[in-house]
Amino acid sequence: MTKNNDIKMMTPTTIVLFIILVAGAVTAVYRMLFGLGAATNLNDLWPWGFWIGVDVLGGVAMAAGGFIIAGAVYILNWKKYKVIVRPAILNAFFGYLLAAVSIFLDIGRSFRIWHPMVMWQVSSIMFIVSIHVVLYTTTLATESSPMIFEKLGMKKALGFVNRIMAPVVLFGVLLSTLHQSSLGAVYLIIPTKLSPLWYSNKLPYMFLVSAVMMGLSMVSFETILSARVFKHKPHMEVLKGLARGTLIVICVYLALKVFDLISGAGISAVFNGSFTSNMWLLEMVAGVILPLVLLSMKSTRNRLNSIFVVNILVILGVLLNRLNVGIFGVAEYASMAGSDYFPSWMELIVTAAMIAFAVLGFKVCAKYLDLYPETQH
Amino acid sequence: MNDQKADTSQEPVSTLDRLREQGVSRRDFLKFCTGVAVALGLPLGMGEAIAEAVANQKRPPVLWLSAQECTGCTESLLRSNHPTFEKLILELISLEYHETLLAGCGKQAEDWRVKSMKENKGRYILVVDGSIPVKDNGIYCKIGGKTAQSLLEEMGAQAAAVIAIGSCASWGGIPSADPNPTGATSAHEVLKMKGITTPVVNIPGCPPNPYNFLSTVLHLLTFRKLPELDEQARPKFAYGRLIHENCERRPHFDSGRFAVQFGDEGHRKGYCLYKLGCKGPETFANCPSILYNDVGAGAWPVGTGHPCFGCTEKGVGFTVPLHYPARPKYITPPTFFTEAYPGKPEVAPGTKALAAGVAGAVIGAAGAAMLTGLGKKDDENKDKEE
Repeated sequence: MTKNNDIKMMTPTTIVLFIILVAGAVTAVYRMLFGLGAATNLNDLWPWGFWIGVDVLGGVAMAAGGFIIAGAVYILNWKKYKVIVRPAILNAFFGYLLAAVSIFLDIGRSFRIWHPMVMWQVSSIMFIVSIHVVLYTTTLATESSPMIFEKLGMKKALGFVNRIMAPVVLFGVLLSTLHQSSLGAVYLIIPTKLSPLWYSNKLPYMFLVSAVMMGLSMVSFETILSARVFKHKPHMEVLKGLARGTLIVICVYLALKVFDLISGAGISAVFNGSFTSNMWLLEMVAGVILPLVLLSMKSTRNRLNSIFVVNILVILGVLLNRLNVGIFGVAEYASMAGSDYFPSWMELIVTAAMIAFAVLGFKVCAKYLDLYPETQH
Repeated sequence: MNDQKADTSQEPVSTLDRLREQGVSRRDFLKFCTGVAVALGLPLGMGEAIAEAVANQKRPPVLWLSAQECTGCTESLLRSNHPTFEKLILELISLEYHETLLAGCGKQAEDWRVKSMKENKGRYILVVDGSIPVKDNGIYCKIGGKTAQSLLEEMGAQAAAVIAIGSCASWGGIPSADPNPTGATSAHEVLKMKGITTPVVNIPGCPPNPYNFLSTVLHLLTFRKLPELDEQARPKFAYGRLIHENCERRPHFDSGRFAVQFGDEGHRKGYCLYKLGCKGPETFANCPSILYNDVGAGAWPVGTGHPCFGCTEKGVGFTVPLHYPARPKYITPPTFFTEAYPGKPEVAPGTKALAAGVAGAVIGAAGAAMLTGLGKKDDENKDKEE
């Protein structure tokens, strides 16, 4: 039962992913040896680039599904979602691992990454971010550990973890809400750099709400995808529930965005054809308006393929939002100050390797651990 | 005030001990003193000298006289939030008399003032806030039956130094605005009329930055002399440069980017407020570099989008209409040049390419998903069959 023999490890995709992973690892070593300047195109005006935008902001947002589903199952006792709780948490764990590794590579002096844990600087937003990453990654590991203990047959440890699961999940939910929003709060310190289309005192809330939206879609997306890849039947009721949840959160997010636009930059600011306004429009149309229109039709919410499409749209939209906040929103300022940024091939390969790592890791876990306890009975 | 005085005379403990009792560590104390040294433009090592001076001396007596004023100076001083500031100011100096902060009142308070003046003759610091009415023999402001003018003359003559805090005491301020019905006059002019030669320092501002005042006091304590003053008796460390020289919006001025109306595009983008009547080009003060309330960047009038109205400058604040353009008679370069903006307000090509790539990927992926996924119906049935 604990070994899913239907999953083949030696597929062409797996091999390609593995090659990317190795290339990324070599590049990461190069970065450690020769520094950020040699490996990346970052500079003083572009201190944060692709790694922060995609791996950290994107990875953490993708991981939001973990705390939502864990909270729904272990705290609210919504039994329906029990079937997806393990993959959701595992997915979140990989998201956070990605973020943690990227932060390690992105900070100037990587081997001082432990400093915030020991030397608390409680008035710094970066302290909040770093302590949350550490605590929540640990929490996610604890939440995922029953699978490992089952596999290894450690009954005592399993019993212990299951007993403390509710408080651990509660703690994880608390950390997640704080962490998702604190990533937004990081950008509160650059009012002059970030375009007013994204800069707002509500940025932390927007990060949280969009992460919830993304988390629900991500869990649904990954449920459908793994059902296809690992060839088992997805639970349509679960997917319908997730789609309903996504719809509700999208409405909240849209209201928040529109309110913020009106009270901040003004509606005309998104229709003036500028670089930032086009990026804003693309993000909103692809990630919010289209999914909202599609999901508001009952026929969409009941069809697996349509839900899958909506999931892709939402994920793309929120990822683009993170890139907009992290990179394109500061582009006008940095360009005016005479600087340019396009990620170096090393940055791209490391990011690709991160994603490859998550996919491969997930696959290995699906093969050797009891990731879908309900589907195999 | 009486009790406090009695306490200190009973147990002669050092300032540091007293601070420790109140929860101020040695480290906090040194930090405060170093901060003051920096505000004064002194080398960092002076922080220790200041700390020593403050900790080892008998607290100098300070009498505070309020005339035609709004208490804004006191209020802003009370809100300076360096670590436990209120305690520090009460422990650094011995505040003998201050109408807003007095514990006693009426005759008791006035008696204490007289007693303290007698005891500390020639040693105390007199702080004045508010302008002094001199019209009709100064009857427009009376304290304890005496006019503010006579009080200032009496107290100023016996003081070691006079610090005029706020624009009112420095040059007349808002009460002196046309038509000046009370004949509001600055402290140093009142003293001069009477021929009193006690040195006067002016700390104009409405209200002035509390750290300018604090730094002056500590300079006095540490070096036993007043800081270097300009021709208007203002400390040069605080009023040596135009606001326009240190303003964070100066690059916009130099590039000709102005806000012309409140809420217009330029105003939202943080452009120069010169055309809204900003008096930065003719006003000497350190507001843009020292800021207010210790809350970080932008915490001063221009930083929040309001033009400077020249409160520290005689003949500008409360005199020139608020939105009347400044007359930049002192043409000085900015103290530092911010990042050069060589390019047009256009996004650089590399970033644009990245954005195009990302946008293409998003549109491509979303489009492909919608085209292939939305039309498919068979799949669903197939799922059901399975």
